[in-house]
Amino acid sequence: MIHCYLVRLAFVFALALTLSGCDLSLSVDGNSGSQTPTLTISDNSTFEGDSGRKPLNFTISLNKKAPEAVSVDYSLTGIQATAGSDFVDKSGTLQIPSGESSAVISVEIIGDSTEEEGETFSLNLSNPVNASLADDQAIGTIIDDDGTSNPGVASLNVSDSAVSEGDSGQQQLIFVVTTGLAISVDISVEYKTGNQTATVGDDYEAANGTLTIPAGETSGLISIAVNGDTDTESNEYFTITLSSPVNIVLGANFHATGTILDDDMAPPPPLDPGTGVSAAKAGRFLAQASFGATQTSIDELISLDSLGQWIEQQFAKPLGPLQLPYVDAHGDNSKKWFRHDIWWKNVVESDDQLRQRVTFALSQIFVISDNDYTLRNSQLGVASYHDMLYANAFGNYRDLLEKVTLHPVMGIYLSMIQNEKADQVRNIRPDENYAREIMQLFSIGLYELNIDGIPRVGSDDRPVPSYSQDDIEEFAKVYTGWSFKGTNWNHDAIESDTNLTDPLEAWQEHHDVGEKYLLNSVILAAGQTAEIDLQQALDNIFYHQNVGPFISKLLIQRLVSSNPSPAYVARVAQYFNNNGNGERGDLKAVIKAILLDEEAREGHINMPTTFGKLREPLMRFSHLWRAFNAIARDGVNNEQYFVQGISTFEGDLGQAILRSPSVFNFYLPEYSPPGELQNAGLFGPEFQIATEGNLVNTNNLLHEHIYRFNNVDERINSSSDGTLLDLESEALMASNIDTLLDYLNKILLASSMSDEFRQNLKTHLASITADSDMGINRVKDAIFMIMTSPEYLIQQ
Amino acid sequence: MSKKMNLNRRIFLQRMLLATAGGATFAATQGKLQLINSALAASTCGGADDKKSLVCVFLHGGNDSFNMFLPYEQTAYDIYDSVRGDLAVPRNEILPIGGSEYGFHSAMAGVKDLYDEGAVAVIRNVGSLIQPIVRDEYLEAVASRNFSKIPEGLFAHNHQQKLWQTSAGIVGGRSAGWGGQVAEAVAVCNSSNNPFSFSVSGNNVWQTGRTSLPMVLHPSRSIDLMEGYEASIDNDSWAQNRANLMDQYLQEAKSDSNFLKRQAGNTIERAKLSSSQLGNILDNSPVIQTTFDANNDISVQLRRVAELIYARDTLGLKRQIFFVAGKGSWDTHTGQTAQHLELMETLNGGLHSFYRTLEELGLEDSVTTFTASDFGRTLTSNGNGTDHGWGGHNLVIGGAVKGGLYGSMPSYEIGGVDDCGDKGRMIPTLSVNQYGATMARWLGVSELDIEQIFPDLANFTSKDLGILT
Repeated sequence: MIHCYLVRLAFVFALALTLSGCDLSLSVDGNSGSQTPTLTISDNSTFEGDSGRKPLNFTISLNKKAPEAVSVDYSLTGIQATAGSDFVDKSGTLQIPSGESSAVISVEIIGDSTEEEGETFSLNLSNPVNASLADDQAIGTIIDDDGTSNPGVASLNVSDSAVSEGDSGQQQLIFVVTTGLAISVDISVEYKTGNQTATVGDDYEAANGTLTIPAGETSGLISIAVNGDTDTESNEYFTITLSSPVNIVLGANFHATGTILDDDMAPPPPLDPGTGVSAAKAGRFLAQASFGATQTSIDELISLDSLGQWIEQQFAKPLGPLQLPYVDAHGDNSKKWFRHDIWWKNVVESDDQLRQRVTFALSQIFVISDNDYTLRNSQLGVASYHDMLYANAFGNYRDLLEKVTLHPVMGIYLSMIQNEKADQVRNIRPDENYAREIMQLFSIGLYELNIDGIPRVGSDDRPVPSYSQDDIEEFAKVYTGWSFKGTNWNHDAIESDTNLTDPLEAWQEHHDVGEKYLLNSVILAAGQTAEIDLQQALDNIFYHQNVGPFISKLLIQRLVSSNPSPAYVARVAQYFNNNGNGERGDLKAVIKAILLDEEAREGHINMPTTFGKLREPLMRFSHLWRAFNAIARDGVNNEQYFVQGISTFEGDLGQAILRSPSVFNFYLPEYSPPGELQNAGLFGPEFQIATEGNLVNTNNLLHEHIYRFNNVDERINSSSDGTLLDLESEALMASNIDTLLDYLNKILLASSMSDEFRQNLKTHLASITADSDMGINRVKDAIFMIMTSPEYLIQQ
Repeated sequence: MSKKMNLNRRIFLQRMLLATAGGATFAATQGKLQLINSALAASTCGGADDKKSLVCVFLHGGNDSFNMFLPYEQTAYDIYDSVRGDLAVPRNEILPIGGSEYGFHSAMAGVKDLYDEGAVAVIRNVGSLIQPIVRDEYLEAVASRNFSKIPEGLFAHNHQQKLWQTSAGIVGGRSAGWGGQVAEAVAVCNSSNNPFSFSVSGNNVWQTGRTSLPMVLHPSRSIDLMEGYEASIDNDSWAQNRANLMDQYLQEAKSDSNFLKRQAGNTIERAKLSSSQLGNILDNSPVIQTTFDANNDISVQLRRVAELIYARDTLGLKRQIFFVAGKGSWDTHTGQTAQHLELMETLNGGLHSFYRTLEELGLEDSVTTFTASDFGRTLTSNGNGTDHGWGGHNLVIGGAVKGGLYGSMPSYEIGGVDDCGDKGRMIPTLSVNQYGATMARWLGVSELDIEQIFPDLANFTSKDLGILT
């Protein structure tokens, strides 16, 4: 469906009407309609509570934005409920400013602990100005929660559902709505379908109705007709949203997704399980799937003899130590080095290497950085954010996107915290920061993509933008009304009691409740809560066709190769779109597809001129420390685990965990240095930080770490802090140079050392003369010369 | 010979050179570039004393320059004040300049002093443009989805940084920055093979030429020799053997069948050359009396630039190009008033002490410093910050600068003639092409090369801002 460009300025309205291919209902969104808007009002209900007062909100909506300020009088009338004892009477005139399309009237409900029948009252509208009344009354229901049959914990929830479309005719897609408990009165709720990628009339039939669940029942069914076809296409999605509950309240899952499973497209290609695991094969695989191969990890993989099984084992491992408890125990919000210490300890020592590696990749996509002054003194929050990525690395992308969005440090970093709806009096409008970056960097990117990641080109020969500035301004409204949990709306991010770890909470009064025009012609209804708007907007992004290729390509670049073939991207994106069981966004399926793909496994043979990636500076050190069994010396005066002087160390490398210069990461995925790489249209992201300064410093730090500690005595007795290698066993091998080189070739180079390299290195090592330090001297030179060589630097 | 043939021939020669040199390495290829350029282009190098250094200070994230240089005259101030709401700078925090029509934010006091001394040009409402465009044309183009007149990726950081740094209107249009291309054009003026295009803030598009890269140095660390490759710094008897072999690996990598390995070989070789060529130079830096704030990121970088400019005689250089950057926190979506004040103090401190240092070293007339940023910001507020805009004000500073105000102040009316929508995103009235071409011409780049480096300059009537002598 063509996405219509919104033009909201009154005087260019005539121009908008001339557009072809536009859904005109979108264009008429502006101030230009000639007809008076109509007002509607929705029923609502709430449990009364045992004491105190709670609000029951009624949303008054216009069918379009008010061209002029609208006002309407309102009053309350008790039916069974009594003003003063069950609710607080109120009346007045509601104002809807021009440009807005809804407003809320909040009625205070008075709690009690008396068992009674449900009580109702009406909210009546009259004397509309600049609008007409389509509906002049709403019923408010105060649900009794004091009787044994009404324990007050029932709520309505609806679950996701899916159905295969079939080739012709209609199938029924059934949503199950549950109450959780039997209730002694009839309950009802309104439901409404909404497009995501599926199209009404074409793929499914729109539904907008009322579901009644009789007294004593605990569930009800909503049936939506789905139209079959024989088109080869992706799975398609629509949403269903519950509203206006009577005699019950809505639960957290008031919103669900219906998936129309395509049964015409060939399933994703089967994955090679990767048996016949040699040392070379294991070494190459572990360079992609861990923080560096070791003798132990290579041996394990060889004995398991299955890359697929190793991946499954890694998926099944429980979570290892988290960062937050460590940083909390040792430091505070201002001491950043503890966060780096625990990161180094985990990536070097823990055995859930695949989760660690994927988390690192995700940290370079969903970027936050304590390099920015806003997070410099929020180290506990930054640690918690890392833990969140780590915990969700093998989950679903949609869940991850929501957790990223609502994490308080992301809220601080991209200023979604305390983002307010437009206010004409204060002359402000919503912050666009998060709205822009979530789409540009975390999900769909700037251009419409084919499934192989290649941008679509428009008639003007330019790549087709995937969203416009107007789209960003619409999404900016979605992300209004969120702040830290458990404090005031305006609570300052740097206060000591600021909650930097729990998800943000919504403040409805600061949320923009107008309609919102999103991607793929999806419109969010006016009057929704901040939570509903967020769910539907994240779904809107999640179901955009770009997400699969966009995220798949970024993960391939981080794990395997800077220049994946379009076919490789397409194969992985297919797994993103459908893990084989109809689930979209399953990161386990994506990771497996990336690592078991023939290009990952055989790229060094099948595409030798372009395959591979420059090893990241942090991973050169993690490999060194893993391969040579480093121990951290925990000195008397500090607790720094792996690195002394972390700022200098990581400043010299040009890379540190969650510490990039900006939300654009350490390097851009499309960075290409001038010269033959650029002329050939190839990318080398990591070369962006391979600057003269960084390379000299990294080289010299490697030298320092390899050469300074050389035997067991020093390892144990050295008085200095820092990280010490164990090179004893290697030193013992060194009298036989071939043995030493076989060993180092296996764990450092995946047995890929060229004959020429080996012959020259062997000659050099042989020239290191026999004395008491011969072994260790040979080992140090061999490790240093391998780990600084271009052969090593390109991970293949 | 036609212009086009001329350019094609030069590109051809440069590609030949790449084939022989194996990749883009400034230090290794510069001497040869020089031969090519002297044969074809005609950059003006002047006499022996005609030394010039150009310094770009890029403010990553988008400087809210509408709060850096402001209206002061009461009526204009009142309009500004009502549009900006909570973010408006109080009038008593504005330092009026001569005529009292405009002024600098009080955080820019040092720069204001330089303005009073005639060393600062304020270039108003400059930004990425393919051609001059007015509001109605812009709105019509957007509504009809015909983007040919509109710079690509407006309001997105990375794309607008790229357009500022390449002077192009299309992101995929070219990869080379205008600073890098200017460097390639003026390389002919330098009598040595030493690097002359330096970044003290990482890799950047601006200095990336068609075939060359800047040398990227740490802003404050000493430049060390590279362990292993330099036998002189090790005392083991096999050090020379090791150094020879490590160098041999680099040479072998340069003919590897894999593109990335060749790139790795070239990249390490460049690092090795930089450390050996420059280490001693910085060891002999002058004692600078002017005070630099060691905690000010921009000051620290500009101090290193001053040292490298001082060393230009020793390095045999008549032309130098530098890149300095303020980090991402210029993206003031939130907490703007306090944050932007701090940022402007950083910029002010850096620019002021740098200029005073150049005066101390007697170099101020031969160094031109200019600011640039992703974009200006919205005039309207999002509650406590601003969002991505388009045009903005920038500063050009130096002894060769004809101080004053250039370009025109945009109308601050929301939805008015200079607003591209209804949020106060200002449509620029001067283009990056005009801005950059002015600097390039000052360095002696020929008109022929300027046309090639700034391809959209032809769409603008004025080809030079007239700010440099």
